[in-house]
Amino acid sequence: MNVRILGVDPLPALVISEAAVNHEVQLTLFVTGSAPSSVRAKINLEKALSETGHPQRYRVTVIDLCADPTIAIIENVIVTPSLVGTGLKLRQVLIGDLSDSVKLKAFLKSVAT
Amino acid sequence: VTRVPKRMSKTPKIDAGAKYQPIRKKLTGIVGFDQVTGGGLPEGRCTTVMGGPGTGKSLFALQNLLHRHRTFGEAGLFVSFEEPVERVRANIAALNWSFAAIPEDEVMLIDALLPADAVQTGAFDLCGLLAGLSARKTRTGACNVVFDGLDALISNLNDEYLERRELTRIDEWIRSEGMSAIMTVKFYSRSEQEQKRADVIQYLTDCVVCLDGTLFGAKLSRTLRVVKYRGSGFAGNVVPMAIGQAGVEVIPAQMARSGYPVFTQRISSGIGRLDAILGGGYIRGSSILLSGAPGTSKSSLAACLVAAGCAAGQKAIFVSFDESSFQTVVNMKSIGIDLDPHVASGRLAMMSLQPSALSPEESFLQIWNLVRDHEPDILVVDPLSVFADTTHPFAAEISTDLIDLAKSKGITFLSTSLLDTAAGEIENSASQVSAIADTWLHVSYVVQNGERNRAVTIIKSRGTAHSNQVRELVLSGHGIDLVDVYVGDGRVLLGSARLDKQQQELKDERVQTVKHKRRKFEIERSIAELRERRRQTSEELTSKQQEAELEDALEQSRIEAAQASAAMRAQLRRQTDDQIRPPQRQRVRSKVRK
Repeated sequence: MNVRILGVDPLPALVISEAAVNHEVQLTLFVTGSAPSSVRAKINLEKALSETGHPQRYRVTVIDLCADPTIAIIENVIVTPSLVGTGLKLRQVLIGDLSDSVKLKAFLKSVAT
Repeated sequence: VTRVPKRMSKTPKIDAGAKYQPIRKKLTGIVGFDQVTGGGLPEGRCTTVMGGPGTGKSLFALQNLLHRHRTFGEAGLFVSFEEPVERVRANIAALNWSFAAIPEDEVMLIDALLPADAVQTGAFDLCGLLAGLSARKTRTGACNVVFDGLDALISNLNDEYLERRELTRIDEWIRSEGMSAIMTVKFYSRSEQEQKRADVIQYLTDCVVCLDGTLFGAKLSRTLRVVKYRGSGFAGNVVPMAIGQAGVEVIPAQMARSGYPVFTQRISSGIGRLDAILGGGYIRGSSILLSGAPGTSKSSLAACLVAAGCAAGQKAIFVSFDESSFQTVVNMKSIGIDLDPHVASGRLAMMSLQPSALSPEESFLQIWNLVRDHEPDILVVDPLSVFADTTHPFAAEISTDLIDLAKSKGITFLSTSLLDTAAGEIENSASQVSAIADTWLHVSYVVQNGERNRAVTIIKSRGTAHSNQVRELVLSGHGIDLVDVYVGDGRVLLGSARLDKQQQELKDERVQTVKHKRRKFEIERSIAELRERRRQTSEELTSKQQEAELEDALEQSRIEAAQASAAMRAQLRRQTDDQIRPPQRQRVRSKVRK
């Protein structure tokens, strides 16, 4: 990923460490503490990533908005859990506890291409 | 046994002394609404505004937010779930709120629209949003928050239970943050889901306001109703409202009709004779109703009042529904009432409204806003019956409200009312205005001998001894005047019939005078004749008397002569006798000769 582009986009600038540049796809999961849906979303995402067969292509960052609410302002997160995927082309958003594995897999696939 | 009453007596003491506090309210800046609720919305609590689309929910919430910022310096957050904030900003810019002048940090518009391409997989919650709002609150110190169109987001949950959970979450957040909140929720009461959501919201929130819009003919009647208000009394009636340049405006019905300023001072109606029969003019601050058929010069009478008031240095408003302001000025000029200088001096504000385009509430508010800006002494609404004519549910209330508000400000209020009974026999007014009005003048047509004449009657005039006589109203190029009608012979005559009759009387009078003079002359002449005759008679009498005297004298002399001749004859005889004794007769004859 191009650093210049990262600078323009507030999301990667905030949450991506230098190591993240190596990854093709950046996934940010916004959660709130240990809310049930947040916990479910984390489990569902891990599961789906392992099922893709290429978990190393995805760099996952989990942000707890309870711990740092200012990020919620900057990112304008409305609902939690929200999964934001930033691939080469698009920034895509998936909301909810990611319980629909078919939709989640389709999302992961589309964001990676 | 003895401990129980002890505890019972102890607990309320503490509560009553320390914990009980009446609910605190804060003004919304929507004057009518603050009256209905007795002080505005609850502070530190959640209020729900429900209603169909376009009923003014967002506007109501925004207005409150901005008012609190402007009046109390409180920062606020406006969370928009339905509209992008740019569009909200553009919408507010269209109103006269000078929103652009408010720093973005103090009234913050927050976009809470889900991205259009966001895909939903399963349940979510609003913790993220609330965390963000908490952060903003800490930064700006906001104490008011609006959740606008919350249903747009939570309906995505597609689950009654989850919706309820999120609503509860928001409610808890509001309480824990100690903010005053308004939630606006669309409500058509069509689907079961909406009904359930409405139920949940109604018990969650402390105050519920329902906005509604109903079409009557082509006109929209907007209404507002306070459905509940925990910890406070409120007027639960449906009250009319309108949306205009100033945003939402609520007209509280059923205002207390007391505590008006009362005046005894009279102001001129602009017509000297009318002032006289009204006992000095209209009473200041009273309401006057002028009823009558079309063309009975109600507007002209109203213009007279305005012109006289302005000339005396008062300020006036002339609201016209029938014609444009310009037309009114031109028309009045034709009968010698010149309103132009008063408009130019700024004393007279003229306004023309289209009753077909505005609901009664909107008309009312337009008038009232003008009254607020212009602060007149005289308000004329010509005609007020446009309110009464419609099938609009608040038409009658609006007209009485107008009178009430005028009275409460000590404004002399004159309204005209159109009556279609051209003959004017039925002196009923279409609205209850006639009952509230202090003075009621009725102008009617009297048709006689092929012409229509205008007749004015004072039907009532509170606080005034007034004439019961019908007067004829005469329009000329020099203004309006009242003329006494001809009453007599068991008839009331107006117009040329009155003129005819009056001239006939004048003629009759003259004829009588001439006749009298002639008779008098004749009598005098005959007196003169008689006098002459008497003079002649007395002369004749005198001459006759003289004649008689002469006659007497003549007779006397004749008698004397006769006696003398008789004596002579007797002497002659003696002489003759003496001749027989000649010496003697000679002697005698010589004696006689001697």
